[in-house]
Amino acid sequence: MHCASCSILIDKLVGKQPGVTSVKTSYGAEKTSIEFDESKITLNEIDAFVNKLGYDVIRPEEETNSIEEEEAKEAKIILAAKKRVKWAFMLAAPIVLYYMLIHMFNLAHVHEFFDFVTIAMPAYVDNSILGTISYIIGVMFYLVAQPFKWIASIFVDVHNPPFQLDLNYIYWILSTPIQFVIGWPFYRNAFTAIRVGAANMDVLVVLGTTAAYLYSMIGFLFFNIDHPFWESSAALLSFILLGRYVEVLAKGKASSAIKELLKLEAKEAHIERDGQEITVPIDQIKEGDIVVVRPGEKIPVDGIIVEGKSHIDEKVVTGESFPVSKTVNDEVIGATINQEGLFKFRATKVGKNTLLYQIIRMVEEAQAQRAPIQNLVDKISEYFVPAVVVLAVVTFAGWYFVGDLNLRASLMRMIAVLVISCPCAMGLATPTALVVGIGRAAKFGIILKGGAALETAYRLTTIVFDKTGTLTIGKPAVTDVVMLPHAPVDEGRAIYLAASVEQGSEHPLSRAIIERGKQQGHLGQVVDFQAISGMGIFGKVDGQEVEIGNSAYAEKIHVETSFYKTDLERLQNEAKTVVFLFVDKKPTALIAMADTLKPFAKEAIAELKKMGKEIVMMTGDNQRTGDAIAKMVGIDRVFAEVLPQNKAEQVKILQAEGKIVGMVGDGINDSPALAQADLGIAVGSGTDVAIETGEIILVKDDLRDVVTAIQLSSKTIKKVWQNLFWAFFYNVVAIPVAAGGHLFFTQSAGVALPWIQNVRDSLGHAGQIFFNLSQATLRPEIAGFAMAFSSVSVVLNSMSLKSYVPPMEKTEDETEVKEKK
Amino acid sequence: MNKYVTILIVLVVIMGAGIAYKQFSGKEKVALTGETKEFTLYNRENRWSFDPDTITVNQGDKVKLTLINEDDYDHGIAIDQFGVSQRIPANGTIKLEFIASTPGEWPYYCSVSCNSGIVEGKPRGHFDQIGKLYVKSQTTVTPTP
Repeated sequence: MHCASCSILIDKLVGKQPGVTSVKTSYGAEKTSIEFDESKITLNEIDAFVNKLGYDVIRPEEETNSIEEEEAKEAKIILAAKKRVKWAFMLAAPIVLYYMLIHMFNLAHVHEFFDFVTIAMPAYVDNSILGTISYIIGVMFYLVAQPFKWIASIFVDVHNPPFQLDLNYIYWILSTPIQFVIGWPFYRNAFTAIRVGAANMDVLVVLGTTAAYLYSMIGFLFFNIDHPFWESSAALLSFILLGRYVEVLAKGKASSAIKELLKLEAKEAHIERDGQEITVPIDQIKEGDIVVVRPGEKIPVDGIIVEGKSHIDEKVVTGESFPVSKTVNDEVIGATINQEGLFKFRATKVGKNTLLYQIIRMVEEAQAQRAPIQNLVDKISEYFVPAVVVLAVVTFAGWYFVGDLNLRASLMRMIAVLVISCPCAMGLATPTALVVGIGRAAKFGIILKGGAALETAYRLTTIVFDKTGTLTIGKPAVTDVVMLPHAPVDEGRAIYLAASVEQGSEHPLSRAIIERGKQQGHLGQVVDFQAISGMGIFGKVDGQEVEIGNSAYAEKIHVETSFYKTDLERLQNEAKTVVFLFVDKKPTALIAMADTLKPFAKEAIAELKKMGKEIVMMTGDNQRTGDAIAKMVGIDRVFAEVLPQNKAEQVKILQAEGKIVGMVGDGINDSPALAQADLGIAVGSGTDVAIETGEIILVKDDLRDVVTAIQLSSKTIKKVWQNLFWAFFYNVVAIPVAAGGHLFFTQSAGVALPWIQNVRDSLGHAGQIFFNLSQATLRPEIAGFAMAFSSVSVVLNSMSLKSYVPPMEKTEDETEVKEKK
Repeated sequence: MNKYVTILIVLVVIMGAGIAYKQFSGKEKVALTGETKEFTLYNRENRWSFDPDTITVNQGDKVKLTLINEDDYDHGIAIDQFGVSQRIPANGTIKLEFIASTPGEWPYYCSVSCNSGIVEGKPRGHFDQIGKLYVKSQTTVTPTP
């Protein structure tokens, strides 16, 4: 597929086939999903039909392209786009510079090669602004001519050339490849669009440039016309190609998320067969096989542990950054990493049934179903093209039948309408704003993948945050240390002892206590360390007995719990995990741990609320933990106990409520939701898959950047609209002039009306210029000015985005980014 | 319905309306006088003018123009009303002809940017290079039925 219209074409035509009940094609993901009745049409018939339309169908099971091949293909597309732009500009530069400068600053046309190379150094006679500019450009042309003169004079006497060479031939030769070779994709896309009855930007471009090119060629070769429009089509195509190239660069490919997912899979696995351990490729594992996993290895498929225990890093799937302890009868998930112990598990789900593949499928489905966002220019073209075509023909009919103009004059006015209606700056309007916007965002550590992200970001009504790893750090930390009455030691000593003894433990929570201990200084040596599984630990530090355990442990050693009950309940209600510290058998402290909020999470949420966005939190944790965090951060709506597979479902529910949903997440389990959401925002510390699936990536891990991203996109999109206004404005104003409409107001039977004469008489020489332009049809001077002014307005307007500073950013953040670079 | 089918129908309607207007508007068709008026216009070197800068013909005359450019750069001639827009190459000569079908005072002007300079102490340039074609109304000729 080569353009957005292709997907419409496929949907429309395949949908008309008997037996096909529904078809949904996504241009971005290059995927189509077709529902059909096998009794009426076979898959092969659909294949054949789509082939006939000019597209190849790759069925999911025969997709054999490796990641490297896919990447090479993408690199090739970018390279091809770059090559196109390079050639277009090289070929177009002489034409565009020559004609635009000459027309805009009223320089003499020298259209014969030898006359051009022998032009004399211009004299500086007119010291007005215009006169000075034309003098400078005259000198420039003189300088350009000199090298040609030297080279040409080697072969011929340039002052008495043996033959004449019209420069128009050179321009013709230069512009033909731009029009038909480099510009071929425009024709192809326009043709597809016309087949589906759509009128997009390509149709407008083809219409305008073909009219300009054919007019110039036929006019030059057969009619000795005074001013061909070579520069119009050359400049237009070059600028639009430049815009497209920039867009290709800025656009993250939808397919790469899937590639990242596939990269996660283990390649090989060790399985036990007939009492022997053998190593097999992952696709040979069968359900029921006993798989052996060594420390540091990836778990190949989903299953249930039958022997051994370990801590497993499930971050890639769940986003939880601390390892989970697993033992016999616990489930393990493919693609997660075994951290320490050796264990065996029975494979329960293999091949395409694993959780990883389920997630891949969900991402694919969500991407395929997402409606493509139509390019703004395409949207405008949808109405602009028919209007222009009708206007052009009205112009012809009006002058020819009613205005008594001859055929040639009427045709010329019609062509002028077609040519002027395609603004050169149209191709620059979107990309320049996007590039500046994306560049500005990058400066604040926000990566935006393409224009679609910007286009959606400012329209979001609801933003869903994943909890663990997104709102919170995803690692437990010590939040409270409550010293109990009659404690034998002070708080500092208590932390020292607790952290020291925890060094012997492998439990994830122990890390939090050790971290806390290290914050206040060195830790001591622990001797006689003992772990009581599922309950607590015991050890001696500096001769003192230290015990840490959960409430079960406390009960076991018969400690009177009543006097700290209120504290315990309070902490537990805040969804904190609490452990008891005993020193020399005496209850000393309660240590509470919880996942902590990321810095600025609160501020970000508050700001988003101020912007009128609905904020929702989604978590796999229980309602209580969810509510506790939500309360801390200021979120009102919580979806708790959401299974990884159901996250996308929840987003769909919100979308069904008519909301435009942005999803902020970091884990693989968030990927389907990121893909399903209207806008996926991935937190930079998250997994590669989330980053690939998201359209916006927050590199700095600072949630305030969500606010910045939304503000910046709304600013950028506003710029795009303004740009399009400026791009079309000059040309739309010029259309009536091209059609000769102004003549009704400026002259009668060839005689200038009194008001025109008054203007002429009162403005001196400028009045004369105005007078002449007002009496003539579309002059290339006007066309040139329209082209130049619209391009310059658009570029300047885009540049003004550079001054954007997010109100929430502080200067320290900026310096931080600079340091990282 | 396909957008292009709609456009096509609209275009056919416009053209049809145009043809119908021409047929039934009762406008008098221009009768040719059978006369041919020939003129030679000079672009004298660095004068930015047509010499002569007025021409008078009758409606229905065939007008033959010879244009001689004495400059080292291009000029052009355009008479919008009669669809004339031609380049006069540097040091070149072109010939063109048309029927002066509509009465009025039609400007003929240089349509190729050609800089400016000082002529007889006054600034003069491309935008001053303009002349006038007077087409006298055809009152004596009887309209063809």
